[in-house]
Amino acid sequence: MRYIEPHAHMVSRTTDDYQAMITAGCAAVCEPSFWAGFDRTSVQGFYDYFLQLTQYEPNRAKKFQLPHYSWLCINAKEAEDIKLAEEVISIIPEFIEADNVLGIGEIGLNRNTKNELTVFEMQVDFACKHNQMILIHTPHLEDKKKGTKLILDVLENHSQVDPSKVIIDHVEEHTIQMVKDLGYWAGVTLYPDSKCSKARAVDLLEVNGLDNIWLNCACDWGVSDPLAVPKTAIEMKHRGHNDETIDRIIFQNPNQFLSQNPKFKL
Amino acid sequence: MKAEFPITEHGFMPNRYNLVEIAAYLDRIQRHGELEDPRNVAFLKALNHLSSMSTEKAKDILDHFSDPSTDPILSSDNKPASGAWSKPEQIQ
Repeated sequence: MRYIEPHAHMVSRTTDDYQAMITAGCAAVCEPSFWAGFDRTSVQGFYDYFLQLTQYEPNRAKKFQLPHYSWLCINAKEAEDIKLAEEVISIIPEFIEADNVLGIGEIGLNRNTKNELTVFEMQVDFACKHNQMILIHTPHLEDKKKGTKLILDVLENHSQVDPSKVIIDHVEEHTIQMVKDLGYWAGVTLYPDSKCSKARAVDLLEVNGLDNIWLNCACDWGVSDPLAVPKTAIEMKHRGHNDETIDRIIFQNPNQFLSQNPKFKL
Repeated sequence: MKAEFPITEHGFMPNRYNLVEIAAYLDRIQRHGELEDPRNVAFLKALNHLSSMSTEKAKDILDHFSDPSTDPILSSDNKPASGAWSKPEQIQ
């Protein structure tokens, strides 16, 4: 089995997780910028985090021959402070040309506030102006459906957004179709309690088709499983999906999306 | 495509387990006097979807728990999502 982990917060994980991932067949890992579990108090905290994502973490992964890529942004949880968000966005150009940076993400919404929406619009505009791909976080739980609609409205109202270069992550049964109908890629996140189980993820594939969709684990500092993608491949096997279909979902599809950035090489 | 085993073979036991867990949870919140918590009120109403003939029961339940409003809110109360939308006056 070979697979790409397109969304994992490895800065929060142990080195044992890298070993387990390469043992399971991981060919590359991608790490969006996210909320570290606490609010950073200044732009300097983000500066150091971006150094970690573009220098330290790729080197840690390299010890296991695992290519590591990252996405940069200010996340939705910390986007309530617009002044801080503007400062963070202003330092991103310093990092955007790094060899492992694939685009802007994970931007999006958290509780669907006006300020979050303003900062989301700012970062979509930034990505378009810098010709960057976009990775989008949709809100949790009861906020997801409303937030996904708000996000789609912003994208559809921006003249320069190319849906084929945007992945909208954490889709579930009630949001996947609206994302795919507009031509965006959809990410299904395998995460306990608040997102999708392995069985439901395979249901989503069976019901909504195999095009423009990827699976990811989004493992982070919470209870989460860095091997959720290969474990879902086993669920697919139980359901009768053949090796080609499994490879398409866990390797070829993410490779197709990510390879739109020429920096992504396996 | 044909499943290695019938879906029921693979899924019945863990979902029987889940169903008993839900039943025990309902007993527990009743015993502890927490039935009126807005999240539990929404949970109990969501159970109606399970016995419907809809072929999108998972979607129906997710819709049931979702915020139906369309405008962004003024500001965040800095609390995480609870899992079940409630009208503002119902939030404890």
